[in-house]
Amino acid sequence: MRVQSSDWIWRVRAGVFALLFLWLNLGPVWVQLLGGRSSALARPWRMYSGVGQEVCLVQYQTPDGTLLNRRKLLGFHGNIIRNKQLLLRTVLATREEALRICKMPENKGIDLRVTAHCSVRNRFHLALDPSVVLCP
Amino acid sequence: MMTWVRERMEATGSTRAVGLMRILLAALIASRWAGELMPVWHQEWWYWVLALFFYPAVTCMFFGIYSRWSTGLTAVVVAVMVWGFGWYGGVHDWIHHHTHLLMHATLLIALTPNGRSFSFDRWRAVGRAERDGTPVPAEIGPLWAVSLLAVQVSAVYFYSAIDKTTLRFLSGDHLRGIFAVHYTGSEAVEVPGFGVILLIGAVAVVALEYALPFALFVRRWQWFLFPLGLLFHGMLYILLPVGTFTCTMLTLYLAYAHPDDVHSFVDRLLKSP
Repeated sequence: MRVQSSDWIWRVRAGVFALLFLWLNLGPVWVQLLGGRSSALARPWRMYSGVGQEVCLVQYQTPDGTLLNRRKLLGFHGNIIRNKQLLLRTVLATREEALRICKMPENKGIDLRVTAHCSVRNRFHLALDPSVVLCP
Repeated sequence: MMTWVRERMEATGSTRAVGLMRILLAALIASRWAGELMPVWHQEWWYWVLALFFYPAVTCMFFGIYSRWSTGLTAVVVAVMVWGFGWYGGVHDWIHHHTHLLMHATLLIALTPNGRSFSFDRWRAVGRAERDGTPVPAEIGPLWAVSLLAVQVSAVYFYSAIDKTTLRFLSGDHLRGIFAVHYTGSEAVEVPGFGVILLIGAVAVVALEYALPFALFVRRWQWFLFPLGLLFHGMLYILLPVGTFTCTMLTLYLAYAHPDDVHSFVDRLLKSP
């Protein structure tokens, strides 16, 4: 490729083009492939990678396997509730919620069990199974 | 590769696509920040100074008043907000990926002759030509920077696909976690086949994000890739709180379209009986 020496506009454009092309691509390469830190100039493209990394999915039941409605157990009878109110992130939070249910007067005497799958770095594992007695 | 670069450097053509992108990006910038920057919400003087530049710059960019300058000023203002206020001032809401994408797009569109179509500048130029009895100036200009807008979109797809190329995403577990956060709130979904749907969805997203960055450059495939991208981003827009990201990506699809195609498309739209 030959460039006329008088064609300075072409040279400036090519320089700016090359710099911007590198900037658009080297930022993600630096952070995502080379393990560098994200910064003002080096922007990775990791949309939603942090969302849903720590979540537990729970299903309450009785010892005989009858499934229970979690919202009713928590006292949300037809109320408008936000997902965040029902979101459990850890096994500890799941156990705490179960204890709260056990202590509610309307659930007095309940033998509560749960199947809880919790994610660690997005992989779900069985964290609690129905053999665990949740109400003391 | 060098041939591709050389062709891009020397590319000239219709400025209608960059004119449309200028208008749409200005609207997106306004929708993201115009409400938040109102002086009534801030006591600090530096926000007022920012607003003093932001509103006139974005308004002029939208209407195409001194387009190159107003787009350049908007790019500087948005860069100050994202880099200055966001990264160094601790305004974390301004350093999300959708604000970065808006900033990059504005910086790049400022390098194009975006005021030669659909602008107040164009209206003045046509008026001047009619007054002087000279030919109306053609809507043509150097488009070397337009390719960078397409490269930006491709980079978003490609590096996003790399990020998702993990067992945890491809198994559908990541989507299950996102679904729980935004929809079910830790309640296990007992719908039969739900896991398979998530798995297929995850694989499809990754495959699409690896294909689009390259395939979108192929002109003869664009007739079905553009609607496919619209469907993909439209679904994300409806299902997840993605802010201006979807609309910015779709706006930047115009950078892949051949300038002649956009020009004749608009001609066809405006054709009168």
